[in-house]
Amino acid sequence: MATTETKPSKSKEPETAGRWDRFADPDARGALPFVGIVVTLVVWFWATHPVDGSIGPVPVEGSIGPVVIDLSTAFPTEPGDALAHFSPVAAFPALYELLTSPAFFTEHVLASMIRFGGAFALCLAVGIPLGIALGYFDTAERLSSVSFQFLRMVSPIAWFPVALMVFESGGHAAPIFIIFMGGVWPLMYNTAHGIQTIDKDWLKVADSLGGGTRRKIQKVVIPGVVPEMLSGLRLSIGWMWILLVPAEFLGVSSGMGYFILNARQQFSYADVPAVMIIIGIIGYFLDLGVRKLQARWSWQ
Amino acid sequence: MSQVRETESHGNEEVREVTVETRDLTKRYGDTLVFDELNVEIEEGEMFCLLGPSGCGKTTLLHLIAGLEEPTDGGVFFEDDRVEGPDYRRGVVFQDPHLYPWRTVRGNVEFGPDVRGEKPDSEHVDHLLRMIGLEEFEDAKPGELSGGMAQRVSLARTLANDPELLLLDEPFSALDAMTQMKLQDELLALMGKLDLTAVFVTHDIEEAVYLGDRIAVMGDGGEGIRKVVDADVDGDRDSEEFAEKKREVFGLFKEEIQDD
Repeated sequence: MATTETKPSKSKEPETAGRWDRFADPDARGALPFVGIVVTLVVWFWATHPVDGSIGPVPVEGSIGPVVIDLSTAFPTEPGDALAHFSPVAAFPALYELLTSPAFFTEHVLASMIRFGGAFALCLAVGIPLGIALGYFDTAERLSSVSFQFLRMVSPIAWFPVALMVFESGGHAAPIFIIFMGGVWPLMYNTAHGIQTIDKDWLKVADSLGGGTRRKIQKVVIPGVVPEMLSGLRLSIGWMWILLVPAEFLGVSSGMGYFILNARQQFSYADVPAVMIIIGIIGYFLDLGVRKLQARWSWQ
Repeated sequence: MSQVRETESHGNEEVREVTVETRDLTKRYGDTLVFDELNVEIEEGEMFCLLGPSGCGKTTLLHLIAGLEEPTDGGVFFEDDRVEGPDYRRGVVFQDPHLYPWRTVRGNVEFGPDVRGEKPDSEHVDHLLRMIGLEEFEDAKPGELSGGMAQRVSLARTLANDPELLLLDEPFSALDAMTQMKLQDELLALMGKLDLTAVFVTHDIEEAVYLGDRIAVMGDGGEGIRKVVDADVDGDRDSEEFAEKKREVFGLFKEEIQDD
């Protein structure tokens, strides 16, 4: 049987793509993201840098004639002001100190990553099977919907007293529990919703080809729901990363959340924005990782 | 095509096996009657076409034979067993290919055995991919295929289960006329090679006459099968015999045409 149709063009990534391209952010092309970063830094600097009068009033040409903005009154931060502690001028040297200190990584970053990783694994282990059950079996959905919607609305931070009393002090279990209680819902509900709205014709075809319930779930429902599951995972990871810091505020003496709180007590204020930068960078790459997975699993 | 058919067409007395039989088959959707006490026999090795306007229940009848819908009354019998649900031995090709977008062409063809928990026979899959002319595209994803190619993959996916009965629900109706004609010829060639029995739903008179050994002409409003026409004409679309048969079938739709 000869086919005259043209060969479909396969969109393969060029072979020459360097190994670092795999980590590149598809949304961060061109110069604009860098402009954005510079603007952010400038705003940070202006809002926190102590003005000692050396910059002075700056004349700005406006359409209604020259306008004078007096920086010393527009940003009345003076040496000794609280905000000045958090200036980038102080933060970047502190960041350098932290990045070159192995103890910071082995003690705090590692502890945070273990807690995040534990909560993440728990989320997958609980959120995906429950999501599948809720989406596939109507009874499971009706049985649990009120309880789960209720639990979802209770701030995970409210579980702190329970977690601190139940779990061993200073361990990983309490923060993992707190992070998990906040992070599991988007993954679970997106998975359930994905299954409820799955293309019914895929199931009809599988029926006609002789598939039983278990294999239909394995071969059609699960792969078919992956895109929506990943959207849920992206939301969950965002929640869990945000909850990491407060989850380390109590009952532990390691981790980046503890480090922030402790920096304040030790009067090493510049460490606060420095750790915030590190938290932001790790969070950015966690999110990027899920977006990469989403791109791989999309068929639209 | 098949051996059975050739001996029969020479006037042999050989009795053909009945593959599918409907006994007083009735289907209603709520108060709407689709058809009432329908009795039809589909014989082994034939291509049986269900032809009629939309709403006549031809797809419903096909789904009942497939076991994808349940009868209101009466029953469908496949090799003397009552049809209780879908079964891979009664393979369905749908109007839309409904390929699984996360699987490659090959992965889609392998889907039937895979979902039944059997290891797909890679030689058989190779053979099917060659038959539909897509062996070069085995690693392509469905999103990269044209409509005709996708429908070929859908057909191969159904055939990978080695069905005894092939149920086709207007499989070519969404394709352009040239691709339609090409796939009709490919289907006839496949039927001959694989010795299959098939039920083919269509609203296209020419398609029914070209493909069908027999054509069940159906009417709407609960009428069911108006007449079963013998349509074993030779495969030449330009012949006088073909035109004659088309006119005969067309004549059976006088009511519908006058209504408009």
